[in-house]
This record gives sequence, structure tokens and C-alpha cells, in this order.
Amino acid sequence: MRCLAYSTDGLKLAVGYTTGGLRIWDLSTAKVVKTLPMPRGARAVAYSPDGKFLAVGSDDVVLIHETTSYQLVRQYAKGNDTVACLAFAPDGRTLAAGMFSGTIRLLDLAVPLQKGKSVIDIEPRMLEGHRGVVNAISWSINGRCLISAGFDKTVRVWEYVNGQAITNWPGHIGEVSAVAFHPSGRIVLSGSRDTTLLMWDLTGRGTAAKLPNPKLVDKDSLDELWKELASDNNVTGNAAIWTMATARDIAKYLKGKVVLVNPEEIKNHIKNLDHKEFKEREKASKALKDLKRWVEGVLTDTLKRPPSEEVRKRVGLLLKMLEGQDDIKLENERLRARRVIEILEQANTADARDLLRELARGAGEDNLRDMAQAALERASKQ
Amino acid sequence: MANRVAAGGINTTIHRWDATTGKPLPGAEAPAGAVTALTLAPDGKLAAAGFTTNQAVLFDIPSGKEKARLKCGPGDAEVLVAFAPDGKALATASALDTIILWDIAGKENKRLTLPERDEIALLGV
Repeated sequence: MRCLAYSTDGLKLAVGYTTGGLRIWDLSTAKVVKTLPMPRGARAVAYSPDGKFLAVGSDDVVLIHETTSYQLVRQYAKGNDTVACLAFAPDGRTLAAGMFSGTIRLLDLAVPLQKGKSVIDIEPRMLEGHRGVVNAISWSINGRCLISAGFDKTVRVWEYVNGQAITNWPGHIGEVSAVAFHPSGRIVLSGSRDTTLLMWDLTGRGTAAKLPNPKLVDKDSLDELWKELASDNNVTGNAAIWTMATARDIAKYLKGKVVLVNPEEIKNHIKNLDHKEFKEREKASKALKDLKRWVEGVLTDTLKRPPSEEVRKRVGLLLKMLEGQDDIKLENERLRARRVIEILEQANTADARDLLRELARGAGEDNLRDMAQAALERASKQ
Repeated sequence: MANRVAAGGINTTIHRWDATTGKPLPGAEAPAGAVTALTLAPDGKLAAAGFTTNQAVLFDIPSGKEKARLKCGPGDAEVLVAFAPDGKALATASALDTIILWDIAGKENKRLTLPERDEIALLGV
């Protein structure tokens, strides 16, 4: 046998055999309920988090079957590289495929299909770094990071949003065959052909099993950490996360820093840029300026078709002001927002949960709101 | 890392690895072979690893202590492992075609066996 996966509802088991097929076992009857032939073998298998899809890696193709009648609904076929492992991101939208070549392909399942076709041949996002087969991938529970390991003996942790590595751990002396991200978000396990299992500390300070009690961090240091939190050097960003997660009253500090947005209000502000009263126009400009990078997209769109010369001028000015903002780009804000959500879930104080609640309603983008909501739900269960 | 190889077999050790100092911390040992697969219970309190010796081992996390050792079939073969989404069962699949469902104490609950002379099963060995 090559691969094994429990269905999301726990009622079935998908098993890939070395040659000729993937079988779906029904666990209550202990019988095979479906055989998918897979003439080129089934090396990797994964169920989507909602249980609706089954992804199979067969030679150089990733096949996506739905799980009621097991019809093939999509296939990712860029060819010339064999799929070694598959792992769905927790939001079910991204499927990470570890390849023989050493690349990790991040397949986007939301890419629309052309009518009557199931094959997707768009070049996916890639994570590059491994030399040789990527044997295993595992996502963090919040989808912020993924780990990978393989033939080159290294264990790597990546931040999904910018695709950069946080670490590249050399520790095994043989090929790494398996990895697992602990639900705490602080521990990574890896297993190797060298006969060792290693447990890694992602906090980098011996606090993986349990975070230490919060300690006082002065305002200047917090301000410095706030900047580091937006760094696209992921090593710096990761270190800042773990310092901030154990800083006393961190939620209070972050509450003063994060920008909360309300799409309806933004619409109103944009409208008011054209208000007949100067005072209202000024007020709208000021409000939009306070929303920083999160209104960049709306402003750019507005600038394409400004309703008046006044609006064109005001929006142009706002966009210009964004350029000067400490060189923090929208990409960095996105990175920082995800790290902030991680810090709040890790800190898990009443204040932290309150801020997660606010972010679930008012973070700058849809997926950030979803992430904050999911983090809040996990934190509340602790 | 001195405990890796022992007389009469290969030791498998869960090491805690300190990423700052790069020094492994003390961990438990389990002579079960090269690791082929790894799975974590959803609550993170239990891990299971599959080995080349047709064995799987349940470990306590984060202590790394061995809780149970499961023989997943005869002889030596690679073992795949997967925890049930509710964390109450572990599935092991031996390369020699045996699929077993275990409870988390390591007791065998069910075996999934293909009918005899199943062509795919024969090919799949």
C-alpha cells in the first residue's frame, strides 16, 4: 500500500495500492464500497476538510473526485513531475502537492473550470527549496504555515501567504518520511528513515509544550516588535510572534495598533469624498487615511472611474500618502495581520479573545475575518 | 544522538529538538525501525508512527513516552498510519495488505480484508 486517509466524517478509509487502484473502505461494514482504477498508481490521497472532495496523486496528475458518486471533477496536470504527497489547507481552498522534483505546488481549488473541461493547466504557486522528493506536508491548524520534509533530510516551515521559509531544520541524518504539525501551533514532529522521530520547537525558546507566563515588555520594544511583525524576513517575523505572544497585556497593545474596517463605512466615506460640504469631504478623507493599506484596493478602483475631479484629486492624494507609510506594503500588512491573529490565539486571554472577535467582524479582508473567527472558536474551547 | 543504533536492531527515539541551541533534549526510545508514517490525534495528545518493521507505536505528546506498540502484520513491511478525525481510532495499513483499526489504548478492533483472489489485492502486494 502506498497511501492512506480517513474520510473527514470518519466513516471511510481511502487506501491507495501500489498498482492499480484506490479503494474506499466503509468502516462499519468492513467492505470496499468503491474502487477507482488508477492505472498509473495512487501514491498520495487526501480528503478535503469539508469531506466533499477526495484528492489523489497519480503519477504526474492530481485528480479531484467528489465523494458522493466519486466522479472526477477536476485534474491538475502540468506534467513532467510526479506527485509524492498531498495536503489540504484547513480552509479547503488550497491543496499542497509535494513533488519528486522538490517543489511544492500550491493548487488553487477555486480556479474556475472551462466549460465541459476538468483539466486545469494553470501554473500553480510554487515553494522552492527542497532538493529531491518532498515526502510529506502538513498544515498548521490555522492555515498560516505548512511544513514539508523529504529526501534532503531537512524539515522546513513555510508561511503560506508569502511563500517564504521560517526555518530549515537540519537534524535528521536520513531521508525524512513523515511530518505532522501539532494543533498547538508550536510543535512540529518529523519521522525519518534514520529511525528517529524528532519533536521541534517552533517558538525557538524551549516553550513549545507550554508558553511561559506573560512578562512585561516595554512600549519601545513592543513598537519595534510591531515593525518586525510586518517583516517579510520570516525568521524575524516568527521571533516577534513568540515574544509578543508572551508579552503582558499584548491584546491591549495590539488593539491600539490593528486597523478595523467596515465595508459599508468605506463605501460611505468614498461617497462622502464628493459631499457638497467641504467639512464632510475632509472627514471622509481623514477616515480613509486612517484605514491605511486596507483601502488601497478600493481607492485604486475608485481612481479608475472617479465620479468627479474632486474625488479624483482626493483619492490620488490618499494613495500618494500610502506610498510614504514606513514602506509597509499591503503584502506586509497581510503577513502581519495573520501573525497578529496567531499571537492573539496563543495568548488566549479574555482581551485577546475580544480582539479576535472584533477582527472576525472587521479585519481588512474576508479570509482574515474567517481566520480570526476560526482562531476565536479554537481559543474559546481551550 | 548517541542512542540511535543499538545492538540487535535499530532504536527509534523521540527527541525533543531545541531549535535555538540545536541540541536534542532527552526523549523516550522505541526500537521499532525506520519511520515510514506519522499522524497526530486531533487533540495533539497522542502521536502514532509507522515503521518498516510492520509495527506502529503510539506516543504520548509532548513527553514522547511510548504508550503502546502495535504489530500490524507478519514479518517486516512498511506501515502507514492515520488517526480518525474524532481521535478515537487509529488505522494502520501494512504494505502486506493488512488494514487494522485500533483503539487508542492499542487494542485491535477491526480488520479490513480483501476477498481472496482479488486481482487488485494481488497486484498490490
